[in-house]
Amino acid sequence: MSNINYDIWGAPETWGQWSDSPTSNTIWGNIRIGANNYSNADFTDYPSFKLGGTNQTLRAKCNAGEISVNTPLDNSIAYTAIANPDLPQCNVGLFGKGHTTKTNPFAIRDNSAPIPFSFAYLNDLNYTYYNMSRYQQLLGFDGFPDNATVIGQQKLQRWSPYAYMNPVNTTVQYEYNQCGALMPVLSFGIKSVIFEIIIAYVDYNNIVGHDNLKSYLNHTESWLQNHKCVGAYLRPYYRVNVNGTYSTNIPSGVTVKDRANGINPIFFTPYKLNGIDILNYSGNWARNCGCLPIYGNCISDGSYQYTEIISTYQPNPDNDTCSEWAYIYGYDKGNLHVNVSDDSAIVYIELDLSVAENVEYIMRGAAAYGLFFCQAIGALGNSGRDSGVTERWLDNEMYCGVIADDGMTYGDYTQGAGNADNQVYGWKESTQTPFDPKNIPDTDNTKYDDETKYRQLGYFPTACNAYVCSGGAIEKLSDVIATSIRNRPDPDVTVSEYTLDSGLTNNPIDTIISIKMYPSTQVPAYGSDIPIMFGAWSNAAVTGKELAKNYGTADFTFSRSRQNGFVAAFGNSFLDYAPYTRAELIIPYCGTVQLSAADFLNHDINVRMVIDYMTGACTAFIQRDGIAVLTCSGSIGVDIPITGIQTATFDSQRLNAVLARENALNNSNTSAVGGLVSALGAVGSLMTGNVLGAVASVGGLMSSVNNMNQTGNAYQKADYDLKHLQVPVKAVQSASPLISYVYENVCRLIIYRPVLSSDYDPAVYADTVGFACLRNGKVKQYSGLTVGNINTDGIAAPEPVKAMIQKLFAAGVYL
Amino acid sequence: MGFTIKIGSTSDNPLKLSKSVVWADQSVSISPLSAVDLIAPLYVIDYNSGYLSANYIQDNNTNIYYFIENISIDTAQRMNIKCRIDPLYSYQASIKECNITVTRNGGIGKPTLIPDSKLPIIPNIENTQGVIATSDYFDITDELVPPADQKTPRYVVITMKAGNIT
Repeated sequence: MSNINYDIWGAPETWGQWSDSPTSNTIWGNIRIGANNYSNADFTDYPSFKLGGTNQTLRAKCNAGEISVNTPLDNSIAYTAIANPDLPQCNVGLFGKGHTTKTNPFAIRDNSAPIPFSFAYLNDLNYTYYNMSRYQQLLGFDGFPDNATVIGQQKLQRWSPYAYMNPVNTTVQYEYNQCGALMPVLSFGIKSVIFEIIIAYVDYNNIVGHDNLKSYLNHTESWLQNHKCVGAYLRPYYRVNVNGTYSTNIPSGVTVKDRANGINPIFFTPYKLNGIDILNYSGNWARNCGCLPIYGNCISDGSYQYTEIISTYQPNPDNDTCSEWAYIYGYDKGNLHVNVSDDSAIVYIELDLSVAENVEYIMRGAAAYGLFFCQAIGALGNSGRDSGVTERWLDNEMYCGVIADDGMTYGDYTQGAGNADNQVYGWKESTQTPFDPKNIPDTDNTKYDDETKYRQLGYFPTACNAYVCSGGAIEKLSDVIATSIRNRPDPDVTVSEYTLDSGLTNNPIDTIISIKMYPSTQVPAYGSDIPIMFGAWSNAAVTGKELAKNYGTADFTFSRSRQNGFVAAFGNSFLDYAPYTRAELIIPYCGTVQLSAADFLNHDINVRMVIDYMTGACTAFIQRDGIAVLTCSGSIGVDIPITGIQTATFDSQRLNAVLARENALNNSNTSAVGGLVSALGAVGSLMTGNVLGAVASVGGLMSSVNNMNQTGNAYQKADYDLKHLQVPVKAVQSASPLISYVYENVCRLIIYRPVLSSDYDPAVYADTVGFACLRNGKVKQYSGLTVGNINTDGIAAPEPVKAMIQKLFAAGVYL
Repeated sequence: MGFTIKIGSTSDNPLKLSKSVVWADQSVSISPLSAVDLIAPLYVIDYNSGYLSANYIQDNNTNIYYFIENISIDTAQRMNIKCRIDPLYSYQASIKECNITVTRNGGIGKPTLIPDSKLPIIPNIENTQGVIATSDYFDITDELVPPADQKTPRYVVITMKAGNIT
């Protein structure tokens, strides 16, 4: 027998890798799902699947933290095919035995009672089995019915045949109300637990269309993705039979051995739903939920086509091809056989269906599907089965499983007229209108919407330039501003040389309005690098792209599908909600937002951060399932201080200094001329004997010399001033804090959960205290320690006895 | 027609609705010497050492079950069996059909949405779990001043637009 490796959700990486050895791959680290038609088969004969192989997708998800392995079984929703880190050798199995044959694959419908069951066992090499589900405990069963005859080597310590996987599915099954019309109008006897009811009864023409089913299954995938305990459904092959023709969707010639060589049937592509045949859909669904609620074998019965819900297929050990049908359960010779294989023998029980308890046993198992089912053969007859009537739901022979408020089924059911009070009944009407029983329909679709619509902002015109540039451009900015002075004509007092254009270019530093840094490469930019325009002046050394939009967005997603923190850690109990469980959402650059547990449990949380690139402000819109419910504002743009020369001022100062120097020079020249005139006057006076005139001229000469000295000093001063101009500088904005940049650039949800005492034992607690609840019903619906107020109406006992009964129930009675 | 009772023993919790009882093979005839109380009867029977360990009785006439509270043996070698009614087992069939509002239940198997003050929650201690969101757009740089080959932050420069003077 060959073995096949596949990735398993949530499995430790250390689990087994591919090996061709049929013995080394079994048991340890395996998830095995399969069935066997061979009476003495042991596990090593089962199709077994291991981690590794060529498809690492699921493992990668696990390693990436998208799938948690840190989930105790008790907190799991789907127990099937889930690795328990506390039981590293834990295998999960779905096993079954079948009694149908290829020639009569519908024997199961007539006289078989397939019940899916699953259990885990410890690979302690003693093959001690443990019930992996607590649902059987919820149902009050701790094993076989008392009168069940256990045959064979009994190594099961605890087990339950209840459909654990079903609580996973029921909500989904009904979400789009596809199943309402698929209800088992098939006529089954009590021997038959309705099986085909879910997807099985597929009349492509009349009951449910391919599209509906596809949509339904698509949704299923989405739903299942949001549950962390989704396991892997693994199956090596399956075979379809459409219109009586057997075929296989596995590429021709692909054998197990080929699979080992990396040839993968498309069936194993995770979540590849669109475009795949309906049969594959059902298979995908089964695989996604890690169990076998429906099973993609379509078989034909005359004009009807069915998709078997629970059946398994296995390769023929002889030739690695599909050749055998195998069903989880069979019904044989008047007794229900529940078969379990272990390593060396078949263990099974026989249920005598004439015993009411056994009937109840099966009924509750059927009810665990949360679907309609019927008990008596002939109540509806073949006509009911064939016509798919829906008017008979309230017939006394019809039962319907009760889906509790938590979406789980616990084996309770309603009957006949009581079905009208079952919420499932309300879902029977339509096969077309999606109806999610978990959501209250909008009362007015014109006023309500399920998604916040964000307006798309573009770049709106402004009377300024906005560029996106790198740090390199910023570093060059001061340099190029300084160089702008060099491009200016020397001031030569000819004012007319200054044009209006030059007036717009002479002070680049003044044209800078703001410079902000953003910790992202995703600032929306447009076009290619162009010189940044400072007014009408630019320098080719400083370039940037034009800002494409004034705003940007950043979306942070907390998807239920990948976050192990989103599940109700305490079984969707009060402990999962405020004030016991609470959460804080830390949004970078914005701060912390308080969330109630109800905000995020079972919801998708998205944070859309909108950034205003013009101001640096940002606002985070916290969305729950697409609707913005909270906002939080902050600042993401950091102001970058820029300093530079006040070119215009400097230019003006330089001009004034030059003018002053020129004036000083002119004055100096004028004084020199005056001195010369005075000297000439003195000489002339002496020549003419005018002593007094000469004296006066000499005085003028002396004065002129003094003037020359003074004007020379003035010139020197003006020249000094020109050479020592104080360069005026300017700083554009000051630095703003960037401390918030230290925090990680993602949103983080911090979940605070209560801690229970380490001594807390749910089983003991249930047995001695009981869990607080508020439920109404009849006493017979409950099991275990029950405390409550009982109405003793109907008890033919004396009043004191009735009072005793009331008092006993007020204190607690074990049912 | 005389009264008969069955004598047996059970190890079940008295508060269990249904009980497993091991009955003696033979019913015992009794002849009431006085009025028999329905709720707390006193049965007088001939001495039988096998009944000394019994703790449960069924009145075959009324199909009512009783706990044996005490057995005393008188000088006439008769056993005086003092009983108290087991209303649960006696009327279990009717009780099962009664309406009830359940405020605590062990069969639920887990805490419900109803707050349970008895659950042993450790005060002032919490488990903390940080969940990081995925970011599908905001390509945020890791370093503000990174090496040249890494992503760098972006700057938005807003400047004066010269306009068209002419």
